[in-house]
Amino acid sequence: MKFTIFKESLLKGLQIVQSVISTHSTLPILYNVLIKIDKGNLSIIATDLSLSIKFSMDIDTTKSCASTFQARRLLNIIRELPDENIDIDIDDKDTAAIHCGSSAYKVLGLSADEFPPLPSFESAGSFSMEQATFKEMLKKTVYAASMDESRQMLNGVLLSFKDQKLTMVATDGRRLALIEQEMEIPGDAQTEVVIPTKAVNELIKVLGDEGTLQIRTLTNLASFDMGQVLVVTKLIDGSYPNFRQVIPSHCDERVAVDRESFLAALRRVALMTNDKYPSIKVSFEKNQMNISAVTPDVGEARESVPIKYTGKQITMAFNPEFIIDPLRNLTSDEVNIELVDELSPAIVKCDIPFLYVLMPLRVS
Amino acid sequence: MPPSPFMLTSFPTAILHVDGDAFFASVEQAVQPALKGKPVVTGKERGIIACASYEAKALGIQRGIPLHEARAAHPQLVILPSDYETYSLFSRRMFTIMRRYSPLVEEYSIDEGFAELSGLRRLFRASYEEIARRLQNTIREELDITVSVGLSLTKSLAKLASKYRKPAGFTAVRGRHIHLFIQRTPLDKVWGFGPNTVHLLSKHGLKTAYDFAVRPEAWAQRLLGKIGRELWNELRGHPAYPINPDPKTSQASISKCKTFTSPSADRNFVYAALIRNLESAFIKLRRHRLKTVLLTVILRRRDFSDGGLEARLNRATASTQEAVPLTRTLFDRLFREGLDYRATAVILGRLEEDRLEQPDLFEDRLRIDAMTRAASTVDAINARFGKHTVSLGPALFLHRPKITGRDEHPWRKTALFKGETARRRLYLPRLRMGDLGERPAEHMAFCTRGSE
Repeated sequence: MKFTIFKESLLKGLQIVQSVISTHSTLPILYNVLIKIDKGNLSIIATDLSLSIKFSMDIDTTKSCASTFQARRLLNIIRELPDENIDIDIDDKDTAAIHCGSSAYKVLGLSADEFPPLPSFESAGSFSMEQATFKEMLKKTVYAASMDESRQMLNGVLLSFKDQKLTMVATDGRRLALIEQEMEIPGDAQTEVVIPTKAVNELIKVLGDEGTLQIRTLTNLASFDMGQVLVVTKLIDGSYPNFRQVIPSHCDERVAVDRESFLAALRRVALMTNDKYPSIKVSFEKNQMNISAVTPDVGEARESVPIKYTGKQITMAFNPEFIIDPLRNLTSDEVNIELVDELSPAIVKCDIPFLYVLMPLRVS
Repeated sequence: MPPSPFMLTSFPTAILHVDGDAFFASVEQAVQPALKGKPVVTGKERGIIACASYEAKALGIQRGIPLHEARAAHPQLVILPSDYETYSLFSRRMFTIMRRYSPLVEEYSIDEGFAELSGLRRLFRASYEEIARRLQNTIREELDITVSVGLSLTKSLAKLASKYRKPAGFTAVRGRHIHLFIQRTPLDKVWGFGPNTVHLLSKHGLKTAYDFAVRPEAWAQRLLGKIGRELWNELRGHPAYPINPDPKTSQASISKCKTFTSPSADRNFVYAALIRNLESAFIKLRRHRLKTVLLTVILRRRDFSDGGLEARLNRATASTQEAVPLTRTLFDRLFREGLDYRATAVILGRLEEDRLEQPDLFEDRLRIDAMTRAASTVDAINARFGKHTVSLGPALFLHRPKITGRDEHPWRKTALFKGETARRRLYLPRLRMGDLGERPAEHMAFCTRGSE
């Protein structure tokens, strides 16, 4: 069947979905995107079996058809075409004839029957929230998720819909980021799911700054519906560790520091560390914080930053990356650091319901 | 003679390769002159031949064949347990002699090394060949062992040259003779060409190193990548591999492997032997102030087939007890009832320095601290009373019911100088004089027991 589409619209759709496609796959069909036209609606779907993205838009046709084409090739063709209307004609043998201006292509595809279907969420519980809020929450936690394949359970972000709030948690065991947002949750819809990091990163890319988001969950799947874009992901199976238990219940000292100057100083000192010795020393003294790095075979760096602090002197060692991460992703002017002693976890807090627990290094 | 296609000069660079002749056996013959001229093999404790003297090689005996086969065929064979302490002392002295001639010496293995001689002619008032011969003679005179020497322009050529005539051989390949030399060198003799590469090259019609070197450089690069280009240059006399005089500084892995006295199918015994290897590996790990996250367990069966598994620990550690549960799991998966095992091995990989520790929020800190303290306490006790005085429980199954020939210690371990103990030794080889009769090994064991 034939249809006409403006280049920019098709390109946008292909670009959104194609990042899901993995570079190494055993199933050739997974290199393809499904193009489906049904009752005046065009949808483009890509999947790696764990994560699927669907992009939909209205087009001016009444017929329906479905076929799949190699994603990268199709994207490259559309990208190079002039900014004009594109005529596409897909026949029964999964061949697409693409015409645009003076260019003509014939692209061979594979049957849509082989393409894995998108799961249905009809019976699923649903939550609704602002896209921008959800995106900010993901951004402020996902960096703390583990990359270690031996700790599968931690390779994602926990979404806990409980007690009239959404709590998001990510941890790799060495640090933990937690953020909360109040929302309406019916009593029977309470649930906890762990979204894989790859899905979270895709969501951050496609979530907009306005509009609402529908979240639906099943026992092993979750869908995120943004209207034009739908993201469906498998959940990480297993039980998430009891994160509440590692959040210290009390603190002895409280430090207030300007976020930007702290971050800048940390970045400068971190330049004198290396992979073999990723350690910086942070010393909290009266109204002053001294940051230093002494790395064997590399050299030394020192910085001091003014702080609001009158408690006892505490010197701690941290992996610089772990303390830079939250500061870079927060937006408030000032952050509070809560401390107990050299070897107990430190907590970073700010003016939003955010919390970051960081385990200090032990240096021998 | 047609002009050389590769090079017209003799020695724009001069690199020497020194290769010990049947090193372990030669050292035994040097410290026990009565063994000279006799077929000597080492490796008694392992049950297979580790090294065979040239007299033994003449009987057709090679490295790696089981001792009982060799003994059955040649009852006159002198079979000795390996005395690594003496071998390494000889090795060190051999490199010391090489350093008298050139400051740039690379210790490639216990019995072979490279020396860069370029520019030394004026200092010694001699040609490179003459310097190399003097070095070879010095080793023979001072250590009473022979080495084969190859002199050429690059490491690869020098290594080929030293193998060309053995034992006590001397082969110099000048720049303008390279093409003649490598025409006589089959591909599989080239250092760096494994069986797969040789197969690949022979598909292209190549037979000798010369065939390879006359192809264009780009062809070698395309077919074999960086290695291909480097060897192509090396074989043409352009050094691609510099002499590296630095001793290995960082360790990539620590492994401990021990062959049992006689093969065993006893589950407890094999496990105990494995745990003993684990303990030894962790002792070494802690001595080097390292920690590990990657554990490999290997069980070798009687027929020399190996079963091995690798797994990651939850965190990098240096305490033995943290690795025991994982070792047990791997062992249980590998061990098959009814099969005879001859050796176990433990390899610790992904080593990192033990200066920094990133604790985990979810770990059981008290338990980890307790295990760390236990390890350092055990180390302290064992430092005073001897290795493995205090060890893990499975060691109780390491019973030694009967003393067999394989349990015999090297002579040097029983013939101590005055004031030496089993653990505290003067690092000197000891010369053993006197005729040992027809069955030297038996006689030796007798006289050392009698002298104690």
